[in-house]
Amino acid sequence: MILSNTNGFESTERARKLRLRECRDAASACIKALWLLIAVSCLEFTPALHAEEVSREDALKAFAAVPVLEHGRYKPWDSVARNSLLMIYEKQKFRYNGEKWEAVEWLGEVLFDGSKSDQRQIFRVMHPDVRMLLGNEDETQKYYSFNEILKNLPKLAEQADQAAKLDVQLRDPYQKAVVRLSRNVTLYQNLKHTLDPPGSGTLRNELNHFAEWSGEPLAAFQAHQGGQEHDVEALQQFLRTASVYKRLSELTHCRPIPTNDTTGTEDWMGLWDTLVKEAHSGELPLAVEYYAELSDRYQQGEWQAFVETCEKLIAELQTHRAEAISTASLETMFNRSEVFYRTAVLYVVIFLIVMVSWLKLSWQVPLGRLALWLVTIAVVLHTAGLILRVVIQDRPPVTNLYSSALLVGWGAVVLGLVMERLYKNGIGAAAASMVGFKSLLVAHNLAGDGDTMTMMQAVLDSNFWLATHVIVIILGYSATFFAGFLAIMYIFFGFFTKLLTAERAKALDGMVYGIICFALLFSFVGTVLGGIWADQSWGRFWGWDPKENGALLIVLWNAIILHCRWGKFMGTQGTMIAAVFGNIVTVWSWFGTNMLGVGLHSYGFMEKAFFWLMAFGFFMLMIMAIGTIPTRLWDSFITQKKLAKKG
Amino acid sequence: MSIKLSSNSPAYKVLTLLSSLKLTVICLSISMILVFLNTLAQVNLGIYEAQNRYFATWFVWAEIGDGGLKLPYIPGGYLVGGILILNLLCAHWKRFSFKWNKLGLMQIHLGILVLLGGGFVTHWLSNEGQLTFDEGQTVQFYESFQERELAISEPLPEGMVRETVFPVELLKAGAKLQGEHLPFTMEILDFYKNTRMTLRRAMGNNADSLVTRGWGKRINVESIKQTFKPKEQNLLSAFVQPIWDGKPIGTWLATNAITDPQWFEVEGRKFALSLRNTRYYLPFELTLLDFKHDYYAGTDVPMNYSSDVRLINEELNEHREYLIYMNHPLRYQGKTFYQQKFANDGATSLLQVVENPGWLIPYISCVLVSIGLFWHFTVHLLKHVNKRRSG
Repeated sequence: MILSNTNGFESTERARKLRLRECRDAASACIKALWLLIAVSCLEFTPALHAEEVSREDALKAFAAVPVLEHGRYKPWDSVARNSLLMIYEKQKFRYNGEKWEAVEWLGEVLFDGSKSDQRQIFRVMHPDVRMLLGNEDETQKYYSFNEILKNLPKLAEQADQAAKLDVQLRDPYQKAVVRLSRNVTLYQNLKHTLDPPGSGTLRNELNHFAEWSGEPLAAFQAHQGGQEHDVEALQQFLRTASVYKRLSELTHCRPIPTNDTTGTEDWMGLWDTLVKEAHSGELPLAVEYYAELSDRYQQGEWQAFVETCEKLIAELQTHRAEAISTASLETMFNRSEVFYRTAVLYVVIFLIVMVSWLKLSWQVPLGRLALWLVTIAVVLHTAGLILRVVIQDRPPVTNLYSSALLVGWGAVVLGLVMERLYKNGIGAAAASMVGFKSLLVAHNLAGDGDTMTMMQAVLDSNFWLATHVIVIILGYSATFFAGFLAIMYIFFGFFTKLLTAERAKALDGMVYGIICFALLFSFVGTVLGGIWADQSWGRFWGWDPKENGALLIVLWNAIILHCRWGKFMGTQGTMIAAVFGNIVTVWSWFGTNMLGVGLHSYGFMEKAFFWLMAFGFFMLMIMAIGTIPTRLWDSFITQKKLAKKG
Repeated sequence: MSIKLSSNSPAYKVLTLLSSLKLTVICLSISMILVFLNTLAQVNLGIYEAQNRYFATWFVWAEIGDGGLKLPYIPGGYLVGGILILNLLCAHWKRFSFKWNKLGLMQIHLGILVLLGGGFVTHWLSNEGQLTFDEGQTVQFYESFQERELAISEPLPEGMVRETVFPVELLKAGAKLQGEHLPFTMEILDFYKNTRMTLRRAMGNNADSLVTRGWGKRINVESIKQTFKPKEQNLLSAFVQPIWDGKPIGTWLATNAITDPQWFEVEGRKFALSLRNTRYYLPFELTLLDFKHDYYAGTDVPMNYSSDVRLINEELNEHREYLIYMNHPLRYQGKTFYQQKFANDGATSLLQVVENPGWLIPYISCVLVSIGLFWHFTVHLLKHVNKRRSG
């Protein structure tokens, strides 16, 4: 009896060890596979420049990393392409006849072969009335080419002018769509005329024309200025061309040409400004020549030579503008890595793994372990993405709503990782991946307005207190959200499933309590740091600004929860319901206050998010309502009772 | 702590009530509602007025209908803040016992007490306004954002000016205002808190005007509802009549819509009349030497702006120059000058001036609370983790 017992024990022990080893192997295999995946995707980033045959795609990938000054900061053409395409086409990749074009491939055509790109259907138009305005009978057509719009451009411009006079909040969907389309058309024209002269001429022809122009006509102009005798015809010619260049320079906003002047704000210029500026010397910066060559090569389809010219251009920039080159190449790598997209996918995978692991007792340990590892990897990726943004921007991690969403997710995921390490029950991993995914989704939707690394107003310019205040307060949001999502899991799994075992319920209770403490600490300290910053910048510690009030609400709410617990006015169930309400408070503070359009903090007004905020709030209220149902009616607690009776 | 109260005495009952945790939770909840309502109210009332109606008041009043009937519907900031302070004091007095693991908790609450107290100190003692000057201009005063005054200035020899000012609160129809240095009495015929002004036609339509002197004769004034919107301004109008030797000299319109002073003579002395933002004089002079601003290349987002100022304090024989820019204010004699904004494409600089004797209090409180929270939660976290490890 005893012997067999021991044997039995040994065999189960051995089986457990074996199983553990299997799990470990499986987990490590999974991790290896993941690294391999990352390595492979990294390989994808480096374009095959020196392969036998260079394709158009490769050529433009080489062009992608060339820096340009746009909206006050250096960025690679790659970012210009992605942000513009995102605004115009509302996607980062362009589909054409079943082919998938990278954004930069599309931009290459816009810059170097405008007449062809005018025919591409890239303008997304969803509103039926706007489609009608464009004179289209086929009402299902979603995308329009520049040429198609051009026919009705005056009508569009008139409608857009009318709508633009209204306040953003007062515009109806049609007016918003018209303004948006008109803005996109302007953006497209801006891009096109960066390098493309008007009419059918090429950049090369224009440079030849420039050489002529800076000869006799310029001399005539100078003579005219000096009050000397001059050729009237030549003067007319000078003035005509000068006015064309002037108009073109007003149209464009990209500044691709580094000038000889490295100080001040004029160190990068648009092509047309450069031509005007250098008319007297007649000596154009080398970059202009390279761009003309790129244009030639592009139109001839000489991709090998195109790549070589790109390399020459980069080498030329390297000597004068090394900083811009390194920022741009880093940003190109960051763009291509699509690190936040990949992380978001990983979060979904983690969540599914945890859910599966709970289905069967024997799956819990191996899959839980895998989930822990995957969360670690996700944190590493998420962190790497944030660090890259900081390095590229040379700014603290949070500069706008988009980046705040990234940091909210990060904070929650780190908390989840800590919880998972402490409890090893999958709860931390599941909640972390859920919040992580949601926040990246929010960030993705906030990115729709183009560049996510715009420059900040002077008031919000970098300052130690501001940087720390924003980061700490956002970690406070993270923690409140994280507690809220744990509470959602408690209510959801408790009521609808049998998964909320007594053990898990106890663990969740402890986690939520601990995280609310953490949230109170962070939101209080963050609010206070904000006060200190405000005192240093504006001379008032507290001004009842909506955003400040929002932060205060989070502090108050967390304080109320904790005091209720200490006073035993609330048990586990009450805490969970309250923690879910914390989500509403946080969303209000984070986004809702920005929608009021008052105060100093309304740095990121967005209209379309309103619906989603309402939906989120409603969903939270539903969960809270379910939470108030007595626990004896919850599926998990019924099951526990039955088990207890049996036991 | 030597006071002993019997558990039946009313004082004890009151103390129990005031020190109860339930009261804390109720006060915190009302604070949340107040803060939320205040935020919403800001859309229509602006920050300043919303603050007055929700926080700087014992009760928040709701106006019922148009009849002017007002009912309180929720305690205001003074009441809730006051009760919270009492609640904290009582709770600590009643439950005071020193333990190391309670140290953090006590520190947190002490810090909050200091913070609330500091809030009241700032509310009652601080003052802020705006200093506006053009390049090359020297000024010796700043102006309030919200308060207005009726000013009568008399030029004296050697470039001195003597001013007699009456805050607008005194301007009520029928009021007779006197000043120590004024040879006349200023009678207020009528006063409106906000008005709409239109130009009268050159001929006719003048019969009903009260105004007999100054540019006010050409202006038609109509009383309208006060506005609190941040982007709108109330145009105050006062019809004033200086009375000398029992007889009125004439009737003027004074309004903050037009800042040109209006002159009149009494006993051979000249006086200028104006309704303006309340001025606070500084015991020193500030000169704007130069104002600079830059934009990010290729955008209209301002990158930085700065005012180069010279400060002259004749009394202390102090001359110095200082560069005021974002996050780098000038602090001098308890006043702080912040670069706020600029106008006229950089020809005019606007500084925000703040005088707050209680400015240090929040810093102290924050250090107390932050360390307290950190201490308290760390002690508990470690306990919890150890328990889990050993269990």
